[in-house]
Formats: sequence, C-alpha cells, structure tokens
Amino acid sequence: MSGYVVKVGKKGELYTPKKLRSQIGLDPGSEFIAVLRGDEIILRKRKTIINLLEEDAIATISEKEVKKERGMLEKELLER
Amino acid sequence: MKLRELYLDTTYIMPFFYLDIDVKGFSRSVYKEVIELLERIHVSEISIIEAKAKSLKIGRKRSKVNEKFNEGLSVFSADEKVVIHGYRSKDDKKFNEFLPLGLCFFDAVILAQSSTVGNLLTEDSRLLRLEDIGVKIINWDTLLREMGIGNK
Repeated sequence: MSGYVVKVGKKGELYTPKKLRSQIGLDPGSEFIAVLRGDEIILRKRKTIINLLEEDAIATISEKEVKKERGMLEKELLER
Repeated sequence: MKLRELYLDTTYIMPFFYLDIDVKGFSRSVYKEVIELLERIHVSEISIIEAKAKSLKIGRKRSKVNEKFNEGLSVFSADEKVVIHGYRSKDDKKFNEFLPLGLCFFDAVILAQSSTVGNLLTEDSRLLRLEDIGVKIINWDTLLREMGIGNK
C-alpha cells in the first residue's frame, strides 16, 4: 500500500506533503475528524453546513407539504 | 440591509437534510450564498422534529432519506454557525403574548423563539401578514432583495 510520510513536530503538529494537502483539500484552518482504528489514524474532512448545500438533494418537498405536516403534528400533540 | 443573523422557519432547514423546497426562485447555490454571508443562523428544536417527521414519510418511498437526514443533522448540529433554540421561560412568555394573534401552535412557538433574534424567514402567509410584533418577518424574495443577492 502506498502512502505519504508525515512527520510530527515538537508540539504534535503533523507536517503533511504538499501533494497530499492538495489532494484532500487540507487548507489552513480546515478541520478534520481523526478516527483511531487499531494502530491506524483515519482523517476525515469535517463537513460544514455550506458543504451540505454543495451536495445534491435527494428529494423535493413543497411548502404545502411542510404546512400539512405541521397541522398533523399539532393535532397529534394537542389531542394526546 | 446587512443581516448578520437569521431565524429560519422549518421550510428553510430542509435543504440541510438533503431535501429541496419548492419556493419560487430558491436554489441550493443561492441559499449557500445567503448562508455564507450570515454569521449565525437560528432554528427551533421543534423545527428539527417537524423536519424529521416529514423526512420519515418521504423515507418510506426512498431508502436513503433517513440515512441522509441523520448525516445532515450531525453536521448541522455541530456547526458553529448554527444556534438551536430549546423552549425556555422567555420563549413561553412571548408565546403567551402572541396567543391573541390566533396562530397555530407551532407557528406561535417559532415566532416566540425568533423574537430573541428579531427576524424570521418563512413562507407562511399568516406569519408574513403580521406587523408591529417586534419581529421582522420576511420571505425568500424579500430576503434576496434586502441582501442584494441574485440581482433582486
């Protein structure tokens, strides 16, 4: 398995090669979630709400449907 | 108008759960532009529950909906830009003040909570007709015009 050599600084900083940074969008200030799996560390880019809006929706709902759902929930809640 | 914070009605949290809305002129890319310009967005916890109920129904027909809702909620609730409002005493006080307006229960809760921010983005026609209640209630079209987005 090919990989990159990442060095660790005195305070735990990880020095990543430029090629790796550009491949995964490791920009200054970006955040990653580090997951430990045995003796492996998996770095997963932390999504923001902006990233959510960059992705495609899987369905569309109408304002009318939202309103209808509100009416049904309200009825259920108030008649319990 | 330089809006820094905005309170969202349930319709406007659906896109964060991979569900688009049929509001005229709405698109995910323009919405992204709006959200990027804001410092904070506020939502009621009751809106998240409403959104979940709606997505459950859609999920009966489309298998990925429940999984995507959870993914969206995980990102949404962890984002520093998002403030999720629980129902507190000050909200209840406002709710009681709004009782004479004859609003439906959920509308009144969301309106009461939005009064701490001072504005509310909604497409609800009853809410949009309200005036002089201490909350500026706007729809998508007005928001774009006032923020100067999309040549409005």
